[in-house]
Amino acid sequence: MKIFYNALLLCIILMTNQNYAYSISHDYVEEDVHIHKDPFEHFNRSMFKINQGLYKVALRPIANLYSNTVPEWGQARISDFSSNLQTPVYAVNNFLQGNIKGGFVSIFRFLFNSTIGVLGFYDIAAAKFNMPAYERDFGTTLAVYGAGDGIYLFLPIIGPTNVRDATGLVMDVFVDPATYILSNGALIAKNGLTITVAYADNYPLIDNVQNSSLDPYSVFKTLYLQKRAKEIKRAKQQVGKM
Amino acid sequence: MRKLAFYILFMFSIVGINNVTIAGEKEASDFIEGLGDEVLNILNSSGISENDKHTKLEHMFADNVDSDWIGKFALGRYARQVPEEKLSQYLSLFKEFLIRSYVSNFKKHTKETFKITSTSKQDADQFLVSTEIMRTNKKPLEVDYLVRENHGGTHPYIIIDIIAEGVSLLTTERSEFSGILSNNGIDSLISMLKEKVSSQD
Repeated sequence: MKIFYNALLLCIILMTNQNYAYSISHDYVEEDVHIHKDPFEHFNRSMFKINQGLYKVALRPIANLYSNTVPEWGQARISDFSSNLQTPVYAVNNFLQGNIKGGFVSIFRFLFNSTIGVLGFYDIAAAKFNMPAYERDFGTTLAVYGAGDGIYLFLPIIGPTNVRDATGLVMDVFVDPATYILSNGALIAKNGLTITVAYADNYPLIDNVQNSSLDPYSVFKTLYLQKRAKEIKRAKQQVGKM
Repeated sequence: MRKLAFYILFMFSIVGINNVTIAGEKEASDFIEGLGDEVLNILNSSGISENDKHTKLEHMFADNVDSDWIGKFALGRYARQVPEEKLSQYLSLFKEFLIRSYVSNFKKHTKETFKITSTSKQDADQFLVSTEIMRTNKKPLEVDYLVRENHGGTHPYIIIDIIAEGVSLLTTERSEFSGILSNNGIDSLISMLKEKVSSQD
């Protein structure tokens, strides 16, 4: 009888054990939000100013021209093509992170999209075979292995990053099979396409932040840090998934 | 026998509490769904001018987002140090700043639909309602709303945070203001808000 009561009590405890992932204290204390230190702030703000100039004279006009001349359907095809070119890198990083499922799905996605998907212009793998993209870069791989953010950096064209992710960016060049297959000209075109697509997708947001923020530099920094934290959390949750 | 009766009563009361939680989750979810439907109705309405649409959306935002609470949260520990008069001035400007920053974004989503993906209790009176905005030719956008029971208010719930693709409004505003406050103080922040709101007129 004692065992029965204890089991019943355990069930009650389990039923009422609430694990609140997200709640805000009603007190306005600074400890509720972690404000990331920025020891290179002076350097970063200088780079940010340079990038704002580059954005105004080159990056935004190119992104705007692309958005206004290429129809939405065409932009989606080019985006799929660009993403497909990155898929081998995603596959390698998924395996390195122990996400076996993500690694194999990435391989199948590349094979299906490159063939049935007409050289990657159609994301057939997601649309017809329910294979979503597992986008992982080497920065995420380093994070999964325990590397912290490191010092925050703002670099021209690349934008907000940190020591870990900037290192990851360089490492991705080495793990990308395209580095060893394509000519220098083709590699430049590939990277140029990636940057154009990224800015075309994001320039409305960039404009909004620039125009509506009191301190755009701080806003871009926190947007990057929060988004990155979510990506890394998701990657860590999928480690060891078969 | 008394022990058994106690345990059974206790179990029923816990089931009762869980049912109240589930009811609260449903109400929070219905609140967000209702707001979303209302926004889409306004955006897609052919009978009113763009200016009127914008005004309606601004009123909706002001009524359903707790900008005072968010504004105080953005100040962090400074919220306790700022004199009442300046706090009042700051909150009034912050409300305008928030509305003008966010409402213009709603107008970009006319061709999209949304769906509620989950709702969960976060605290005694807070719920997180997760949604996906379905976009043509693009990946769905994940937007979560943290709502709090609005005791004595016009609506049963009020939004205290919006988290789009992992980016929280509360965290963003706190981060943005913390540098300004620690380097230049509340007067500078108020002055910058005034200038920004005027420039958005």
